[in-house]
Amino acid sequence: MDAAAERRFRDFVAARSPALMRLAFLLTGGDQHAAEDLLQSALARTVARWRAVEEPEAYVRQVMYRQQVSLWRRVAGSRETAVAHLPDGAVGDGTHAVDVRLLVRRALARLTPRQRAVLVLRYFEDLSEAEAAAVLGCSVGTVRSTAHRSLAKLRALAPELAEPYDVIGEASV
Amino acid sequence: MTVEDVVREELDRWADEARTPSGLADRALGGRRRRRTRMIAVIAGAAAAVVVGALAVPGALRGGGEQTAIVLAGEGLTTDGPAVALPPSAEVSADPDASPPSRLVATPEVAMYAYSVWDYEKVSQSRQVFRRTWYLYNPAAAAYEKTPWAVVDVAAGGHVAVLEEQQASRVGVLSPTGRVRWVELEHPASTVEWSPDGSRLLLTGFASNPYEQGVVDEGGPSEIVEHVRTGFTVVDVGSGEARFRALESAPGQMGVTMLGWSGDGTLIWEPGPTSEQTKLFYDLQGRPHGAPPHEGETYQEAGLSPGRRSLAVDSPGRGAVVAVKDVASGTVTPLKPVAGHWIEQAVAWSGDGKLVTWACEQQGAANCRVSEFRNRLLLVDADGRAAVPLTGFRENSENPGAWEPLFARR
Repeated sequence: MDAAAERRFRDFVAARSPALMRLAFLLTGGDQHAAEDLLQSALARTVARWRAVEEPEAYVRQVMYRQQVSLWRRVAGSRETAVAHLPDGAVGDGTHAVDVRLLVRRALARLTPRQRAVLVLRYFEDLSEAEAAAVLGCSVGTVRSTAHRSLAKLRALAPELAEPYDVIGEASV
Repeated sequence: MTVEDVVREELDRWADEARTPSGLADRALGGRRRRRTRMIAVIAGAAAAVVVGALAVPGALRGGGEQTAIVLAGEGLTTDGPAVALPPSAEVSADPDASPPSRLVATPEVAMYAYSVWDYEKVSQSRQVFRRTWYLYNPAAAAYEKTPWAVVDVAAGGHVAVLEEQQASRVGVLSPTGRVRWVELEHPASTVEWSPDGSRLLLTGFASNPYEQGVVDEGGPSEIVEHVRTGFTVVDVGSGEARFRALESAPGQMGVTMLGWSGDGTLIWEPGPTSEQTKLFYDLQGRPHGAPPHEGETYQEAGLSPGRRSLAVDSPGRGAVVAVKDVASGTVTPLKPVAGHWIEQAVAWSGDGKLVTWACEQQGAANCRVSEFRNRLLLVDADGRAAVPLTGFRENSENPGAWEPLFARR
């Protein structure tokens, strides 16, 4: 990488790393350290292909998503939680809204990386099912079924979700 | 509100808790790029504290080829002459067809006293060690000769400091006869840098070998290897006194952060997080300190000119990569293609009027012949109007086996 390319890379990182860290943070279930590692690793891959990468931000995002999915593949057996159970720790000291937020975060953190990635793509990045499928390199059907299962698992992990909110099935999934 | 809405809201709120660390770019750019920024001959007319001897003939150390150094633990040698003594010259010395050069590369102001060839040594399935093989100029043989040292730095006038290992327990100063005066270190050191006046050495220590990293393939490093900086040692070369100070990397700083001297040798710095703050400064007690004027404003290795009149910077426009900024007026002069070369990086100042640069061979309006990584050292006037090749072309500066120069004031 020559000086000009290095400058462009540094400018890119300086400008976009806050947004990329937000994404990495969510993908790793709120683990700051793991998020830094994930972004760092994606940036290192981006440097290696810098000259060929036309849209660096899209590339970094895709690398992070796919890395999470491949991580999930490697550890799927140990990380997948098929049976829902309540999150750890007492919740109920604050207002109901705060309680629900905490519950949702804990539940999101307990999803598999792939489940979380699909929810982040659909509801944080607001991508369509087809766009999410393109990022993950899977079929639209896989995105749809994963999103469906993920929301169902969220409800199971955080039953309070269903009470104050007017949750109408999974109509939008 | 649907469960999707709740998830949407909560993801957005949760993401706000992410903290963005500094040093992401540095770390991604890798170990070999991270540290070689030097301030060369920063203070015009600064008196060298180490007495410069008469023209000396280097001895057994560089007797030739693969020969191992004769290493003797010496007594205090405060008046030693430089290990590499170059006579004054009004001429530019170049080896424009050789890469790496075999003849001396020098201007009347600065000389390439040494160069290194870098490579990786695989130490496990997923890890490798970045190593340099150092070649030092031997005036007696009129050639660069291989040395056994793991780390080398050269001060103004040709004084040479060395580490035997990548985590060394002592630092050596070479004498003209090839003897090495060793100073024992309380904490292992992985880098060494001469103070601008040549009176002290700055050594950076890490808890593990900072040159060890994940094996890098086309997809990037296989793993991110963490190295915790322990601190730095300042060695007074005259007395041999070594003083260690603990100094961890700045909060949020990632990767290997090696330390260097400020231009006047009163402060030290580590790489900074942004292009506006390319260096973070500390005093010699390890306390954070403001940046000296213009020293944290560029990524270009050449930095400030010796008279502090000009700063080598990244060019703001598209027609050039490197530019020269007049510090007083703020005027920026882009170094556009000259003499058939694109200027890629500013390596070192030669006086206030010329820059040693890396340059590729120009092809068409905006391209390099073969690639941007095929480049040579080129001496360029600071106004960008004339240039003289100093060496032949490196085939690919990104590949193991590439060489990198070490310049210091003559």
